[in-house]
Amino acid sequence: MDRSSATATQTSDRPAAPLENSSVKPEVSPRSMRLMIAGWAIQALRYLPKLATLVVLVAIWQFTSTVWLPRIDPYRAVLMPAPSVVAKTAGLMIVSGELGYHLLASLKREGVAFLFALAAVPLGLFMGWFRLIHAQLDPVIEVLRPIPPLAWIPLSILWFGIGDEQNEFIIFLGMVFPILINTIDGVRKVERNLVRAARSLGASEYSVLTRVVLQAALPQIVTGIRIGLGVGWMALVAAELVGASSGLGFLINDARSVLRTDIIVVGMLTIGIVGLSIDLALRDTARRLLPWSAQQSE
Amino acid sequence: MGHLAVKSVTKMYGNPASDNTVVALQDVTLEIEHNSFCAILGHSGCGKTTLLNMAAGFEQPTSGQITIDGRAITKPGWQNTIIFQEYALFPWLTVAQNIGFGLEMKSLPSHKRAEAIRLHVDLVGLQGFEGRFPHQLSGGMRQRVAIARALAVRPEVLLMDEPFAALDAQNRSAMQDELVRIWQREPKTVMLVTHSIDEAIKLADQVIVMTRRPGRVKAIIDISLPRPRDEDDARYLSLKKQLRGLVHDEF
Ligand SMILES: Nc1ncnc2c1ncn2[C@@H]1O[C@H](COP(=O)(O)OP(=O)(O)O)[C@@H](O)[C@H]1O
Ligand SMILES: [Mg+2]
Repeated sequence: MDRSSATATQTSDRPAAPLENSSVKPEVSPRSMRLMIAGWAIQALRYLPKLATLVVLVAIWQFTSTVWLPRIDPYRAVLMPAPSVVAKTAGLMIVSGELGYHLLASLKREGVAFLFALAAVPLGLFMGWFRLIHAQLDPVIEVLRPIPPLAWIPLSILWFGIGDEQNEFIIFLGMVFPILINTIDGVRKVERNLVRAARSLGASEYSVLTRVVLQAALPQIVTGIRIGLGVGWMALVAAELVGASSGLGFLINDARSVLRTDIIVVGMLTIGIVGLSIDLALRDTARRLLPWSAQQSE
Repeated sequence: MGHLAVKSVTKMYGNPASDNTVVALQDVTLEIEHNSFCAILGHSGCGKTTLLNMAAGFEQPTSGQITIDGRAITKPGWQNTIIFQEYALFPWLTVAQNIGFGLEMKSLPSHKRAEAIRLHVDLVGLQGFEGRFPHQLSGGMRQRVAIARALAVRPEVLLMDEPFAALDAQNRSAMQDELVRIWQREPKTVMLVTHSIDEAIKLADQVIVMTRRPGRVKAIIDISLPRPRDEDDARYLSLKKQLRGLVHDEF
């Protein structure tokens, strides 16, 4: 997982370099303008081989939906909206604010659940550091962890009713275990000599925990947060399918009842793109805030 | 002050009731005078690290006692700070922040801290690298940071566990010269562990040769040659021969 992410960012970093070179020129003459545009064109061409499969697939999809399916079975054509139709619907939904409304509702739930799930960081720190706390809490967690968040939906609806709290609870359950497990593991893997060095420089036990153990475990805590946000995002959509009146999960389920497959596809793509964006943003932040760990893992 | 005394220290690992106990050190007694440089020389596995770990307060002797100026060492602290072979720098802190870590732990006011950091950066010759992170430095430079970080807390005793063993031969020799220079500028009670005869002769006032496991004190050799020590000097060569004989015996 980490390896594939590393290569993905490498490739996205690469096109930036030549652009920077051409834009540091002091004056923008027509010649340098032309050079710049040529540079962009070359970059775009360089991307083309990578996106070739995607482009071909979209083209086949378009052909199937608009030419082939209508010819053999017009009813089935409805089930497979063409990319052009999806794009148009997406445009309309963005302009009307409908997409933004549902997206914001989902993001808000993800955010609230995340704030609660962050409690797993101090909990994991204590569990990783103090054997006694680990011995007591580990059995509880080992039993709860394998229960899929979705299995909590029926009970949570009875507890919270339908709405934000219930959704947030399900998302929280999806997030909390990856964060907790990774924090515990990160704390346990802290190099013993770092802790000894700190004590030998006069650090109190509190300082050892906050200034050394937490810091040293931070890269893995961030990994846990990344996984947690991803799992939470999946749980979110499922929770909204069943128990919400807004959000992307609600949007696609609602569209199903009126057979608006184009809206369903727009919703699905939004879920995918936003999930990816959250992960990329987090990875980028981690890279900037923890430069020393990026170096180590490479 | 910093008078280190090891009094009949024995260290056993494992359950004493069972058969699989390891006697790492047996009845070790030695003394290091204030501001004197002592090298512990022995084969790997003879208990050198064990001795240092107890002097640093990470472990307690099974019997016997280690004291600084008469006070028994009960826990780790800046008074008896240690430098590890693998540097153990905090990778998320810059060079300056690493050097300042112990000072912060001592709650030194920030202007005094900055002054002490500058002083120790100068001492180990790392001017211009204050803002670098450890992963951006070579092995030799990392060990300089570790030395500066340890000296900055003004320890009574400085402990070093094969500090240059991870460096290549050239860097190791350069760092040994560097350590002599630093120690002459800032005298300290030092207990340095090594398995290199040359390192011991180049650095120490007093070399303690250990036996193989269980580690016991085999010989105590005083070295009064002036520093920096010339490897081609006749007295250096005869010392080397003497120590090689003592260490070699152990095969
Ligand atoms: N925590 C431990 N538990 C059991 N045996 C140990 C432990 N630490 C060291 N030993 C044993 O004690 C002996 C001395 O080890 P050490 O002090 O590391 O030697 P040196 O540093 O001279 O190479 C070795 O035989 C080693 O296996
Ligand atoms: Mg050792």
